[in-house]
Parts: sequence; structure tokens; C-alpha cells
Amino acid sequence: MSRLLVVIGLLLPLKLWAYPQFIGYKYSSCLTCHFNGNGNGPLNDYGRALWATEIAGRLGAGKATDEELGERSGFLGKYQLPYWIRPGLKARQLWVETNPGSSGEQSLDILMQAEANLALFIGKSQKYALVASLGYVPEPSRPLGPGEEIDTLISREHYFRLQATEKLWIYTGMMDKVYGIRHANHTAYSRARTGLAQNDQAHGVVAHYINPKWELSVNAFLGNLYQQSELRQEGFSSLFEYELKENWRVGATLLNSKNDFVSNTRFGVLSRAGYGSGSALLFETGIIQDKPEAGDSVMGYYVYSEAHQRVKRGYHVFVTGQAYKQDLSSDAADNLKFGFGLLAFPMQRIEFRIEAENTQLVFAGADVPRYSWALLGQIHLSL
Amino acid sequence: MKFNQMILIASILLNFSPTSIFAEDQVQKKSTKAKKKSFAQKSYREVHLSYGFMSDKFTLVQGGLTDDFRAQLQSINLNYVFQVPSRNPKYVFNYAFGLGFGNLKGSAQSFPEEVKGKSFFNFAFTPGLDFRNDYRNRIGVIAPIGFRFLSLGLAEDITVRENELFSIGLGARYVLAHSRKNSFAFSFTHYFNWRATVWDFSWQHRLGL
Repeated sequence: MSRLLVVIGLLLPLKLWAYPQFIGYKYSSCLTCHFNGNGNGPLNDYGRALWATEIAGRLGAGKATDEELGERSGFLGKYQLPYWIRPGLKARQLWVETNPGSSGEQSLDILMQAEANLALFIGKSQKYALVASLGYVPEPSRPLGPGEEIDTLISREHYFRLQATEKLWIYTGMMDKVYGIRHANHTAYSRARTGLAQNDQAHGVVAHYINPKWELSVNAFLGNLYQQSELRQEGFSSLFEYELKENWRVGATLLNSKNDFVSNTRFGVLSRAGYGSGSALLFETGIIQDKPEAGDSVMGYYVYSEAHQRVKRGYHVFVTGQAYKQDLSSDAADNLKFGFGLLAFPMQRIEFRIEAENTQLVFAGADVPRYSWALLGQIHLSL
Repeated sequence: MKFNQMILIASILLNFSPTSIFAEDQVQKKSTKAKKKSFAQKSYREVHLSYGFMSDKFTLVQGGLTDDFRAQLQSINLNYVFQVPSRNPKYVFNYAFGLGFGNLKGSAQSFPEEVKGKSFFNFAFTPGLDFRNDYRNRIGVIAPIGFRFLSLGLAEDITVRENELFSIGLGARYVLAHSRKNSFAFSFTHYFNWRATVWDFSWQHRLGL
């Protein structure tokens, strides 16, 4: 069985989402493991080796040493590809059950992603790199409008990376916007309500300056050029992080953009702290302001927090606490969401995530709506 | 040894890519700071101060009619806790004696009944078992036995079902220490008799150090 899993694992993709909680492993900069210094996207060779030798469990590893696991962590296992090419494949399946056990129970099974990615380098120094992905996105569950067509084959990112100086990286192309803590939960209030969810990438330029003690990223963007021009959110965003002490970073983040219909401003402060061996605490809170072209501006807030603990190699438990309110001046409810779950990497290339989420609405008055539960399961396969 | 291996693997695989500069920084940082700490072996005591948030559901009965009454309760709780490491020091038994007070609000779905700012108080005995895989963090299970005193103050002809005085619960918690004496904890507990779900955030202080 374990051999079968090894074979399956070797045939499956390795592109990973950002895991800012791995500051608990004392890796505070995303550039350590990702081609994109702001996290997300394909892993570099070091990231793959680190995943195999330190983060993932040893299921199917037999008597292989960590060194051997690291050597086998490439796209084709032990066989090393030429320095100028690094391909990857990835698939992610999500299962959601809302209000389990009640009359309102609903379940959903979605292939969220099936994607190929490629990184090409000019020169062994990797000073110049081209990174691109092409993949499937699920059709929306809503009914399509008349004449509306959904392209299920899209590229979520394609950019050119230049290492301009020892500490400065420039990225040009389509990427995730720089803002806040880039964690894997794209339905979290801090991502979904700020306009930074799974398919909210934009074409633009990112300048990323990295010092051992601090990092600054500035992103100017023209919106998603595949969208209709009046819908494109054009603007800028930035993220600054400062290392207060080893494995504790605090920062601030800002985004300002507009299209023909609405101007968006987001501002947040954040903290990422590593504890013990592989454990971390993440915190981000901010304001969300939307100003429609016609009408009054609306200001809300969000909070994201996560405590993450390594139980044993490859296995982690986590708890999350979130809050969100769309309009601070209205009588609308505060949304509170608590969650707990298991994040497991039994072996390199395979990830399981199981989570239970409890959402409660808190009104200022005596109204108490029914709270809801959601169970989420995710399998994520990578090569 | 593991980190030396990491550096070796990285240098082989990367041929010193630009990213390796930062990777090495971090690896060096890690190896110089690695420390071994042992778990406390002796029993000790703690005080926990916590904020609890609870959703509850009662059934109201008036004549032959029934209705759901949904309530939200907030409380401040103080616990005196005995922490007793087991033979295997990775496991710690704990016994908490606590009392709390708070306020509740809620409304019926059909009956014209709502309350706001009602006070309540509770006592609880909470045995638990924690697993600590490193010197700073723990995860554990708890099985509280709680007694709650509350009055919804509804119309006289309404009776409240499931407004039990007593309930047992089952929950999980996560403890994160930020110094030898102080830690934060998050817990999630379901109380069966009350049909209530409690989220609790606490600050914990170790006594006698």
C-alpha cells in the first residue's frame, strides 16, 4: 500500500499555496521556498527539498534518509532536469458539507484546480525567470446569463522575474495582488472580502525588496486584462513586514484601486509569530472601504487569526478565528467564524486538510439567527 | 545534522540560485538558535481568566404551542487549575475549578418574546488531558461538568424546555505559551444537555514559579 502511495505521489503535482504559518519552522520569507517572493505559486528546488525533508511526513519513505528524500523531491524524482526548466502539475479537490445532520444539509464536491505550471530560467544564476501556469477552473454554480460563456481554461499567473540587485526582485505580468497575509484559505474574510480570492489576480508590476530584518513589496496593477475594461480594478498595493525578533514579524498593508463603478481601499496590520517547533500564530485585521461611483462609501472591518501547531512531522492541527462586518455604520450583524482542523502532509506531494467551521451572526439587538456549521475536506496533490 | 543535510541538498539542487541566499540565512539562524528544553515533570497550579461566547437554543412551550428561542451568552470566567504531568511527561492531566458570570440575549422565532442584558452565572469542574509535543504548545481534550443559573424572565405561562441546570460537555483546546509563566488558550466545547456550543479564549498564568 505504501509503495502504491509512493508511486501515486510521484505521478502527482507539486505546486503549493503559501503557508505563512511555516514561520513556525523558522522560515519567515516566502522567497525561501517559492519562485514568487510574496508566496503562492510553484516551489523552487530548495522549497521542494525542504518539503520532503522537514515538513512532510515519511509515509512510504521506508529506510530512505532525509537526504535521499530531498534528492527525490524534483519533478521527476531523483532524475535532475536541466537547470533552465522546472515544470509542475497540481490538482485540488474540495468537499464541503454545510449544516451536517440538519434539514438544511447540503454537500458540494468540486475539482477546484487542475493545473500545469512551468518555470524557465536564463542562466544558472536564475537572475531571469519566466513563470506561468495554465489550468482548469470550475464553472460557477450560479446560472449563466444570456450569451455568457465561462472559459474553464485559464492562466492564473504568468510573469517575468528579474533579480535586479542582490536584494531587489522585480516581477512583471499577471500575479496575485500583494496584500496582507497570503494564506491558503481563499474563502477567509481577509481574502474573499478584500477582493483577493482565488481568481482575483491582476496584470502589473511588483517590486520586492528583501532585507534580513524587513521586506517591502509594492505592486502597481492594471487589473485583469482578460476582463472587460470597465470591470478592471486598477491601482496599487503594498506590504511591509519587519522582524521584531527572531520568528516574529509585524507589518502593515495597503490596497487602493478603482474601476468604472467602485473604488476600493483596504488597510491592514498583521503579525506572524513562530513558536516552539513548527507552531505559529497569525493575526491580521483591517478596514475595507468601498465607494461606489454613485452613492455613499461603505466602511467595514475584518479579522483573521490562526494558531497552528505541529503535532508530529507532517501533521498539524489549527484553530482559526475570524470576524467581518460589511458596514460599520449599519445594523447589520458582525460575522464571527471559528474553525479547527487538521493539516496533514503524510508525504511530499500529498496534502489533506480537514476543517470544521462554525459561523455565528451577532446583532446589536436581541435577534439571534441560527448558527451554521460547515465541514470541509480537501485533497491536494502535487508534482 | 538535519540542517547540514538541508544545506547540502539545497546547494546540489540549486547550483546557488538567488533564492538560496535567503534560504541559507534562515538555515543558519535556525541551527544557531536550536535549543533543547525539557517538559515540567512536577505538578503545578495555574489561574485562567477567560472570555466565553456561547450559542444556545431553548424550546418554549405556551399552551399547546412550541417555539424555538435562540440565545447568545457571553461570560467572563475564572479557573483555578491543577496541572499533573503523567508518567509520560508529554501528557498532562488537568483539573480546573471555575466560576463565571455573564449576560445573555435572545429572541423567540414566533412568540413575541425577546430578552437582552439578562445576567447569569455558572460553576464548572473541567478535567482534561493535554498532549505537549514541544515545550511551548499543547493540544488537549476537556470534559467539563457545568452548572448554570439563569432566568429568561419570559411571560408566566411560558415554560422553557432544555433549560437544564446541569450539563456535561466535550471539547478540544489549544494552548500556546509565550513565556514560562503565561500562555494563551483557545477551546471549543459542546455541552450536550444545554445544546450549546462554547468558544473560549483564555489567558493562563502559572503560579509558584
